[in-house]
Amino acid sequence: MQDQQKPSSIFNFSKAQLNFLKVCAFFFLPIIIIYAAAEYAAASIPNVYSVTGNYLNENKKDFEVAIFGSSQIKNAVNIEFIEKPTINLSSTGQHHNTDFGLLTELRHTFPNLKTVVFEVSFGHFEIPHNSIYFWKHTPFLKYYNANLFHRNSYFSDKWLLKSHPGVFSENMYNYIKNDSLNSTFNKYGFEYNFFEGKFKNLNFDEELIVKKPFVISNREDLKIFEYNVDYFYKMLDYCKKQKLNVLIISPPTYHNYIESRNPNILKRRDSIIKAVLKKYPNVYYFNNEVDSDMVLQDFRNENHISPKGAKKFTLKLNDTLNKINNNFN
Amino acid sequence: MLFNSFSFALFLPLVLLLYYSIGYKKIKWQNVLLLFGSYLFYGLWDWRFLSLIILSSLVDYLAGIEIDKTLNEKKRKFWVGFSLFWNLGILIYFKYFNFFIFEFSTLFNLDSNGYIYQNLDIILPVGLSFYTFQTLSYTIDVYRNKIKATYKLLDFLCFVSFFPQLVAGPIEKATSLLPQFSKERQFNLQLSKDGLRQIMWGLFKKMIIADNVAIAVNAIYASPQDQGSLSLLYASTLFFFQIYCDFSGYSDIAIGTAKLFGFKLSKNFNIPYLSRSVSEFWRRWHITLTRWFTDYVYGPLIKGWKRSSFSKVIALFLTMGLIGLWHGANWTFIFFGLFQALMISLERVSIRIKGVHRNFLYYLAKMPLGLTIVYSFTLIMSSCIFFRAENMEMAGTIFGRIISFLPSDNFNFEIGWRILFVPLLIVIEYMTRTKDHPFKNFEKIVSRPIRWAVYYIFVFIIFRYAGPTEAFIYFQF
Repeated sequence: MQDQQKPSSIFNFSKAQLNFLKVCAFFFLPIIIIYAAAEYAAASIPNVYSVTGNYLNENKKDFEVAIFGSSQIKNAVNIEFIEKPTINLSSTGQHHNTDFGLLTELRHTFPNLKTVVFEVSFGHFEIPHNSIYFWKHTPFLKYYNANLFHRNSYFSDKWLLKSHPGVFSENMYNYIKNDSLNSTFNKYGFEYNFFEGKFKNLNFDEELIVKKPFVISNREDLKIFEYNVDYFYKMLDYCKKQKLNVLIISPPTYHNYIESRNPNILKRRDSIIKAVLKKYPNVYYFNNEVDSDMVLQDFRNENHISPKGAKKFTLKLNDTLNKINNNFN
Repeated sequence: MLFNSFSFALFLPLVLLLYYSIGYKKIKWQNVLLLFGSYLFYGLWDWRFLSLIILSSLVDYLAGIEIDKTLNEKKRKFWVGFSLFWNLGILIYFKYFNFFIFEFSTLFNLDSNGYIYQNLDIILPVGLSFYTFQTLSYTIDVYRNKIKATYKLLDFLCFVSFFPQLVAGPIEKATSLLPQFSKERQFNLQLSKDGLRQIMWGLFKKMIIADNVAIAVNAIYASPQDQGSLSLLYASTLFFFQIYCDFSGYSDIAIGTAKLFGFKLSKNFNIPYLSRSVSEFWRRWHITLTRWFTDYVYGPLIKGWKRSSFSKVIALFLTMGLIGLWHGANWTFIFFGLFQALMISLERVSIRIKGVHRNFLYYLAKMPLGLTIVYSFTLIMSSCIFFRAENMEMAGTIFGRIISFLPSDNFNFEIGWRILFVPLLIVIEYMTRTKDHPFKNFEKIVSRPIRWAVYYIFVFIIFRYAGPTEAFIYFQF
């Protein structure tokens, strides 16, 4: 249907255009309203980032230790068992560039910071860094006030549902189902009831667990390795300049994971850590990958520990942090 | 600015409202708005490279006028040569320089540590391959007297930078797009509604299928050496749907957006996975690129080489190799193109049976549809392995493991039930295969309440199940 009306002047739409605009408004308005309501709900319901963010903002002047890493660290460290004022800023899928982004963005708000903890798990140096489109830009910006990748930020960058509809709508669903998330997170943002995982699904049956295949990143990539190692040195140089102690940690993994590791990747990682320890007097290493104290029930899957295992690991981490502090003093 | 971004959701209605309010009689002002809108759209990615578009536009505008003004063949050749030199020059500089330098140095055993060669630390401007091809086609067509040169600078600048198709096509020929900037674009209610529906379908393909499927593909291709045949076959098949939905989704959004402004862009995809042969695939896949290479590379080559069968094959290999190279500066892309060329050549080779010359295409046409689709899809999917692999070694590993029939003990769909979006796509597209897009003329089939219910379901799916944001794959080309 061609619009045969005479041309419209500025801000004077033709009849057909007005009709079209009205239909569009009628169609899109409910979408906008529902979406806005959903965004509001997502932001109102506590999530792991908001809980951590609250703790961060209330105690930032006290923190002496900041811990960074991926889900392995998120699952392994329960700050409840660390004596020093500590913040755990690790999260699922988080790599060194995100860790470093958080550290540099938040450093000025942590006046008492003495030690930073970085994760270097088995595959860390040969897995690519997070892209600048990493969806966690949103929760970190919203709750930690940290613009990690120095992206141009617009107001919509703080919209949680937009950043990851899956994660936040599931969070809403769980909240509605459980009525509250207070039973899930402690005030430090640690999920102390989170035992779900492959091992529990298999009823902690050792025989079944060992038989069942699992994913381990055994792919060698020297290009990524070189890039990541350079970047890691950059992180350590920064910490040295900032007069911060660095503790590198490798959290516990189950024995079949240990046995499946690519020896070349392992050798390269260990050689870098060795070189780092030699070069930087402020760097310490706590390798807890093989830990005889850990039993099957302490794991959720091959490379993530359960809250029970987290207690054991965190207590050991606490001892290490205290030792570093004693050395430093 | 990405089509699947919040910025675009704000940008489009704002520009559209202003465009409507200007009125269709004031073409010049509408074009000014489109030009500024397009520059803003591009500039939000990187303002610096805006100057490159403007410069390219001016070079080709000038070249077109100079070719048009003179009958002196030498001068005409100079200006078309100048346009070629400029456009291919910037393309080579930004896209291929490092690749050629690296290959050259490898060939002659030179090393990068000394003074012998140096890689350039440059980024590839988004959409460069698309708009340089578009401007090139203009100058060549003016030179061939297929189109009159335009003296309207504004129209020409709009033609080069028209935001719906600026960064990832469809690659429009000046003959079809340029005249649209010079005539009145009356508001057409049907066309506008159709545009919105096509945008929704494009977003569904990009955000629901391409972005979700990418999770599975990335997970499996992250360590192909640890995967069995089934996993790799699964990932390779999904990768085809990833690039198809990514790129055709972009094209749908571009075409739909253009419709809102009263423009008609060329169809770029026609359900390529239903092709009965590899030759047919290229008539259904990235149609505007194939047409460009046919008109400006393959056609002139066979014309110059007197159309012998052998020269046609050579021209085909050269053209497909260049199509591969157009996609990226990597041997994997070149092999992708050459593989297609080989398949098309084999399909075209005539064999004399019982005194009659027949080629494979003839027999394919006689075979059951399902069988021919399986045949062509298998070959296309195989060639996509080159497309996705980071290097030839990785492509070799994937092929090797697929044909070794290694067990996939840890086979996993990776994206759970979301994999069902792929068969849903196939069913919808198959059932509406005669239409430009599945929602075309939807109002003729169902009443408004049902129609709106369907739209709302699609909108909900897009919001709720969108995969993690991935830049459109074709932006890098």
